Amino acid sequence: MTSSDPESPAEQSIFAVRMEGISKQYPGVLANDRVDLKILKGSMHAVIGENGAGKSTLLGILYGRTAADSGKIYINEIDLTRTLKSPADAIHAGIGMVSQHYSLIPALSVLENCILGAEPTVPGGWIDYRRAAQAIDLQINLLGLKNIDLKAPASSLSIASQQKVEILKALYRGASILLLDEPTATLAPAESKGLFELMQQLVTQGATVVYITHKLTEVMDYSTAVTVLRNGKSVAEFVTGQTSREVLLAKMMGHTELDLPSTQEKQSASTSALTRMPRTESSNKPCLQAAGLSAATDKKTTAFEDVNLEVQAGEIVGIAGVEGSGQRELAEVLAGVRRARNGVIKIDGKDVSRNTIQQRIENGVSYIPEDRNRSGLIPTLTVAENFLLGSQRDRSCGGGIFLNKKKITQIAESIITAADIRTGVGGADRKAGLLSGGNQQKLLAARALKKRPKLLIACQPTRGLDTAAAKSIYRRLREAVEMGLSVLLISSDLDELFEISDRIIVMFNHRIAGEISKDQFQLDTIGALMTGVSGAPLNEASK
Amino acid sequence: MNTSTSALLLRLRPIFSVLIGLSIAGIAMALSGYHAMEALSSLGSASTGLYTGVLRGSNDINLPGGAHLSMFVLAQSLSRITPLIFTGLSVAIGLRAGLFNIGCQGQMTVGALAAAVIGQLGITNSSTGQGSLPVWIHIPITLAAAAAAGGCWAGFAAWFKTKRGVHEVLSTIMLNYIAANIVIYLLTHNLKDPVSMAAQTRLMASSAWFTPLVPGANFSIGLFLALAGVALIAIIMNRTALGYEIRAVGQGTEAARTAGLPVARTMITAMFISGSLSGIAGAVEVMAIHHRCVQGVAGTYGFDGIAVALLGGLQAGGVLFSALFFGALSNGASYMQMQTDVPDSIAVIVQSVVIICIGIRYIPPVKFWNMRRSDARSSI
Amino acid sequence: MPAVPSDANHFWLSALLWATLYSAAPLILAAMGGVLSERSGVVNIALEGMIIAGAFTGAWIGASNGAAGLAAALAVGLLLGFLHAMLTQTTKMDHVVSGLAINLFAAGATRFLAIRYFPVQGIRLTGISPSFFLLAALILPIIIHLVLKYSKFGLRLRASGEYPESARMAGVSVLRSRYIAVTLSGICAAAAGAYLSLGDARTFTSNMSAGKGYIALAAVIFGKWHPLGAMLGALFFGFFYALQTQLQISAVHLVWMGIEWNSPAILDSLPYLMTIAALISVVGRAVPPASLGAEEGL
Repeated sequence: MTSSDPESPAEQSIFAVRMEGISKQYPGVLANDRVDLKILKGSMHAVIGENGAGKSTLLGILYGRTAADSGKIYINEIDLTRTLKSPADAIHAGIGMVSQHYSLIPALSVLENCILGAEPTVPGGWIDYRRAAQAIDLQINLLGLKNIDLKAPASSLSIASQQKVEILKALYRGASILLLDEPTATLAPAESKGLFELMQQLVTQGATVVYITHKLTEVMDYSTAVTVLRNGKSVAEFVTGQTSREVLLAKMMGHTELDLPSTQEKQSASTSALTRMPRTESSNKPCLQAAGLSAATDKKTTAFEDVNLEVQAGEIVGIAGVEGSGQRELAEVLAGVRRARNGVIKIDGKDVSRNTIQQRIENGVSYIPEDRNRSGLIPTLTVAENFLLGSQRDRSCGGGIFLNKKKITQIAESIITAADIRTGVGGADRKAGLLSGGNQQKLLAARALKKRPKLLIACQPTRGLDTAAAKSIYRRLREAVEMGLSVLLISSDLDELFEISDRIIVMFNHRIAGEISKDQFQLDTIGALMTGVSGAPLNEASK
Repeated sequence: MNTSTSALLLRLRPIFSVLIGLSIAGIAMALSGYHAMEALSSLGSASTGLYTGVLRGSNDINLPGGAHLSMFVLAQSLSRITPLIFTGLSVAIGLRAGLFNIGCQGQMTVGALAAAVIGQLGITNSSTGQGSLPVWIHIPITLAAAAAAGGCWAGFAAWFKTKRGVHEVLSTIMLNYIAANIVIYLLTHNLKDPVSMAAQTRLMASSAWFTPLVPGANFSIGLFLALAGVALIAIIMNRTALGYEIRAVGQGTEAARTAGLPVARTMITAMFISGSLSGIAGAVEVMAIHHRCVQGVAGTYGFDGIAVALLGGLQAGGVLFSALFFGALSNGASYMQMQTDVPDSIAVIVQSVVIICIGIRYIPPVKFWNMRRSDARSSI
Repeated sequence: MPAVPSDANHFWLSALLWATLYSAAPLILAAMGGVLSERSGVVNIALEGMIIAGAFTGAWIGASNGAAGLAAALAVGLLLGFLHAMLTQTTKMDHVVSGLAINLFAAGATRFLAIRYFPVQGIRLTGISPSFFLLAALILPIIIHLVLKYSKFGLRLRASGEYPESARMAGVSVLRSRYIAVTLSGICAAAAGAYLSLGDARTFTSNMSAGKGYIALAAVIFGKWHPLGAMLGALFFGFFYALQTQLQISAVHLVWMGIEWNSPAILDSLPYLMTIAALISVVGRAVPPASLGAEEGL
């Protein structure tokens, strides 16, 4: 692959990466507890585990982003424990990282992003853009990539292309060990496949690939070896060919949770007791009607256009789509957080298009935003104060011109008990920011359902939660639906959509691409719609 | 280092900050060739009114150990504290709503002008200030006018921010300069006192005066008004829906908006309250001291309010104590300049050092200093 | 105002033009400081304090030797810039609070030292030709533009201001970029201060910065954080300073609605009013560097 491999020690070394006894303590969380990770040179190594198992922390330590409290790190059998202090050191050691969150810088061009931190210069500190472009072109040709405009701003690329550019960026720096943190989390199935094929190609060219995932299919189909993390510990290590989904799942979940359905089983279990019967035929009163909706993104480009949809009372409608197809903005427009360019929104037949957020809430619309720490909770306020948010003028909630602190605390405590929110020390007076992600999400869900809304718009309500916390959220939703609530569920987790939706609307390229009814919930059907391969053959949502 | 020790250190931080500020001032004076100890002792005496040695005035009180308390100096110190409490509260309430109001100077100036104009109502003798309005009407309407003027002046900045995204730090600074210039114009033109050479308004009616509580000093019932303000703001912030909304908007604007809170309205209201407090500070200055609007009526109280609010931890009670310190310091510095020739701007240096000590969130190798996120967050 | 070239003296418009350039020069220099700092992600309202510190140091050290004064002023700017970088980056202080503290410190310290060491306020300094500063103010934006766009340092600086975590992941030392940028920013602002005392007034008065640091920052926003745009913004505000001066020295007497519009106090507020007006008209559409002023965890 690249010529910059340290040749002499590499010949004897079998392990590209060897991490021993890595520990990392965060306030209140032992993220890594004496973790061992061994990665054979030239392998395709998967690291799996539930959310919060410590996968990202571990790769962060390997990439020099986070300092471990203890443990040893060997790269190509050279002890780099002391020298690996920053990403720059990791890059120097031949490591490249494709991260989910801290990826390309949108305002910079593709070329600038690629060379950032490793700029070829002429004397005086000026960047030699010609040489840079040549070097990148070389990599592009080696990988056989197409349609990459080096001058375009990174923000204009699709997520799949951005990830390819990230790989390009790593290779340009001479990386022989590639780390990928959940690379397919926001990709459509076909795009994921393309990415893995690219990674396999790299491995055949001599690279070592390490990737984090929680999709067992990706482990079984592509990896050569796999390490399982649970609760910050490395609990198992397998050659992929010598293990099975079931074993991996058991290791990931721990023995006590074996009874929970696996991600694969979730699909087949869609008719089991966990899901409920669709209620569409029993009640045909539309709770939400939207017609001809369109809106712009923050950058004034089209977020979505010509969206028509209906949600019946007591129905759960899922919205799927590759990230950035407009589903988040659609939720925001329906909740009143974002302004629609045009179109009509009706709740129970009443036109709310021009209503403020507050008026929509009064008309029975409730909203769980995607970004819970920014748009959902106020981390510096207490749990009780967060419950009060939005009802601070409502006397029945302890609000009013003067607050009734006793009542506010009482109400909060009763919700905490009912929704099984584990606040830890301090109870309702604990700062909401100190709660775990799952408990924060439960808090948000409980608040959204507090006023018995007619329609709940939930955006990625279980993102980043472990299975148990996600189940608890599903349970709350089902209970509320039994009482007549309608739910619009925006999620990038297809398993989740399959499990709890009555039907799924798929968005592609800022429009509704089609709709899938419950009997058609299959990966390839939805995948085709998400990537625009198939048009909209199914029943249109609008009438 | 365990958590209770670090919590204690965090609690004592304001005291350390003040000590560091005073030490640096001492060092600066010594390095510049002044007698630092002499200056600091002069500063201390003039701040508190505590002197060693002989009695000075008839109002003084003898203390054991050959010391005495000068009521006049103490009263002068307390009179400096009064506007600082108001401007400190003003900055604090703005910051609680996430708005950095550094326009207290301008709001105080327009407040003082409004008070001076309304204070002239019903005047019958322009040289003695005899007036025809009853005190119980005149004082409230004078204060109300100042509050309204200051509130509107600050309200502009909040309005620009919510409607057009203009950062309040820039707009309030510009409004300071504009207020100062407009008031100078009015004091030299339309509102000028015709019988005086100075740039000042006519005398206010005595029905709008605060009479001094210590003869000859500037100390008046304004201080009690300020104390009432502290209590009122504490109640608003902690016990009312409005205070809750202000805190929610300040600490989580997006979450508050998403939950349906009227973010723009809350910001404008908070800024109006903030400006009103500064406006009242200006009113108290003219009602208690000058009895008319004069040039530079706001002194540096507006800017001092920033240090007061930050040292007071943005809490009403904290502002009270912090105003005590900075008010005494500024009074002490004026006397010190007269007695020892050390420039009184040393007080400003103390302020800046205190702000830095309070504002630091993290000192690299010593983890327990890692301060909790303060409310004083504002970007752009 | 500095002496206007004599051949232009006859023409009011030409005088206005020159006055605009000279009034804008300190704003441009300070605005370049603002661009460097803010593009690297650090809000810098400390420009005001750096200007006054530069003005005082220039006057104090440069009483007989202008060049030495300028060098000393730049050195003080460097120190204050470094201090702002340290407070905001290493000790994680809120950028606005740190800026205010530095402004207060600079105001207090210059006043203190001016009384101690510079008691005669009316003194005429040898100074430095204002044309030198004007030239610098016209060239510097171009240099900064080229550096930001085409140099390694510039690319890293921009990346640090947009997405510091991404920059760090790419192996860039964000801390280093910001320290350098903010320190340079202090030097630029101090140069603006040196112009005020050494180039223009040839003396020092403690209120001579008069909000120019804040106006420079407004020029940066007005110019959408681009060095050439910020220069245009500074020229725009400089025009109103010049207009104000030209109207004050002109014999025209404007009275309307009982107000003397060309009285000094009214004209003095012109630049500040225009600053607010400009911000209102442009800010909604200007997009700051993505992480400007953001607090970072460790």
